[in-house]
Amino acid sequence: MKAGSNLERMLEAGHFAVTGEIGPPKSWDGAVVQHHAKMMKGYCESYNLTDNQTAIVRLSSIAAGKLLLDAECEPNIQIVCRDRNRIAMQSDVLGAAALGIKNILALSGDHQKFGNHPYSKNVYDVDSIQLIQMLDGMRKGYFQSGEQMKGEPPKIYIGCAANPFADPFEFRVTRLEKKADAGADFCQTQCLLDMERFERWMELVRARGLHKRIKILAGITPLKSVKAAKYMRDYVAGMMVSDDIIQRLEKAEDIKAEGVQLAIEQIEYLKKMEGVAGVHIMAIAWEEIVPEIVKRAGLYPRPEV
Amino acid sequence: MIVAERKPIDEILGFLSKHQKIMLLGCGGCVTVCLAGGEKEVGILGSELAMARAKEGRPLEVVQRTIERQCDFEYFEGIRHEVKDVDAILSLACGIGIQTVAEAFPDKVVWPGVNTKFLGVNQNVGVWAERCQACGQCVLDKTGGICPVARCSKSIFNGPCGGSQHGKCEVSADTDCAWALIHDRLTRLGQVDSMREILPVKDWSHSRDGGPRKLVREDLTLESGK
Amino acid sequence: MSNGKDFQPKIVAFCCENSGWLAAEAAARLELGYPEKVELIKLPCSGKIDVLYFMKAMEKVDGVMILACQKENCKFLKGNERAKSRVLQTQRLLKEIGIEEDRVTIQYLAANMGNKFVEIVQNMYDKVRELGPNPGKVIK
Ligand code: SF4
Ligand code: SF4
Repeated sequence: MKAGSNLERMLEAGHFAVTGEIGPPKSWDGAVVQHHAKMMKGYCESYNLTDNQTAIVRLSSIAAGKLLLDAECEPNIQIVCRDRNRIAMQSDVLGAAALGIKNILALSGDHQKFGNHPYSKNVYDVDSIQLIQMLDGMRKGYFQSGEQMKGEPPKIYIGCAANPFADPFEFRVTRLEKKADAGADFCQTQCLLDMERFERWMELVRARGLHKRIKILAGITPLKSVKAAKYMRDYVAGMMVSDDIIQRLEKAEDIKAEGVQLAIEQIEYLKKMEGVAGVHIMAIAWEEIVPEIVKRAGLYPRPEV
Repeated sequence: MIVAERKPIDEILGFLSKHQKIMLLGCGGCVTVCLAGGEKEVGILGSELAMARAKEGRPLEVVQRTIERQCDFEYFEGIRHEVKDVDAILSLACGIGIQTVAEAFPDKVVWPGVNTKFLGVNQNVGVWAERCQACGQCVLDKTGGICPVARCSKSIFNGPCGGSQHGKCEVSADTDCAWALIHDRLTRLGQVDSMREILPVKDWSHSRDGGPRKLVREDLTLESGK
Repeated sequence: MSNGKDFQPKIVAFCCENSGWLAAEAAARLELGYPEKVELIKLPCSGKIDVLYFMKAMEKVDGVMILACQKENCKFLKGNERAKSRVLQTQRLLKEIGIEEDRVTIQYLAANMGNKFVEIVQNMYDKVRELGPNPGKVIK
């Protein structure tokens, strides 16, 4: 065990894991975070807390992580490379560890151009792969500079993102391999709205035996509207939405119900796919649907580990 | 080359509002090539300023000069006698030239006439693109001759990130993803496997992050001291 | 600005020697008159015109024009297109200092068009007369 988090134990025990996601509010209202956590409590191993997602200032992911711990839910805090240099990041990692946070997910971060402070300076002192290396070094007792830490090293279960839908396609597997080499323990993929592309990616992943080195959680997002699906397909860089998904939604009478049904079918399908260790359900602003999805996908109750 | 662009006219007119006679100083270096501050631009801006002020009924005399380079002290000697008679100098050189003018004429007000943009290349008539950020420790050997520092929106070293699609960067459909370019070029060169290697954390102390930089070459300083 | 009835604008007309200039000669042969305060300057091609020439001329006069060959008739292929883009650039510069863009124009004609030449020049003269003196004139 590297950190002994819930998530780590579940994955190591070989159970099909479920993680959720909470976007902290654009205010200091911590109750919002706990409210969302309570809605999903017991249905996921851990909950990602986004770090100023889409470059919009929000309640900090580490503070939100503490709020989750208080609500007896396990946080998985995201750290992006956009806003902090290696000094601030390492300091935050120590702080998070002191609060009892065990899962940390390393990301590049969306460019600030699209956020609410487009005139800010970005940092990118280290990139996401270098951040993974840094986290791995820290849990072995070393700062990035090579200096040895005093006392016990922090216990961290290291996560990262993988995007099978970005380009160049073949390189996407190499990039995951680099993240595994850097020390990542698990990855969560971009939300999967093109199963065929995902399967092709998984084939390449298995061909390199990567699924044996890093736990892969497939990203699931229940769709609420055709408009949202088309928007993601056309305007969000690094996203793909297949035509059959759009057609199914278009034909549906109750689009939301169809979106949920689709998510459940995807999970059922993924459960049988070799190399997929679990799902990461991203239902931002629709957290209340997560229990239904988890239940109907036959993943509830969660196993005890 | 250093790429610059003339400042908005109102900003420049604002700088000059209290002056009656200025020297508009062009530079024969980069800003001539990028059409921001060479002899011709001096002529055009000179007319514009004179006309704008004539229109206000407060004439401005504009002495128009362009020297070989503004980033070298030696070229200022030829204009020193004329600088004496002007209220201020409006320099159309890059930020380096403007500062050198200020240093060469410590008692004279010096105004910047251009915004210095970046170190880049002329891609097409009227189109320039950034190529280098003078990071102090070049990594082009590892990236197929394409700079990730200047050309990746996030200056990452192990790209492309998850925002790269159809060869374009997540920030805009008009911006090439530097890492997609690197990937393509290394593929063409048969070296794409090198992208499996993790490029280590960069030592930014060679960049601006180490404080203002200075280069001293003993071999040359000795020579000149002879 | 005074815009009295006696205002006689000064205009510079840059002429391509393959069209505008020859048209002016044709007008002279036909003994057609045009306002005397229009100064003609011969250029080997309208593409020789430069924003700088326009601007320097505008320091002294009330309006400037370039007389170029008709579309696709430029002896040097794209001279007239280049001239057009320089007119646009000059208009932009004048506009940013609050001087009417209409004081700069490009007109197209052929070598034998004496009448057209006079018409163009007269029109420009009338237009600039209406605009009044160039408010930015530096050298009066
Ligand atoms: S790596 Fe550094 S020195 Fe080399 S091109 Fe890029 S910014 Fe310039
Ligand atoms: S899309 Fe490409 S250029 Fe843009 S930030 Fe990502 S790696 Fe850099």
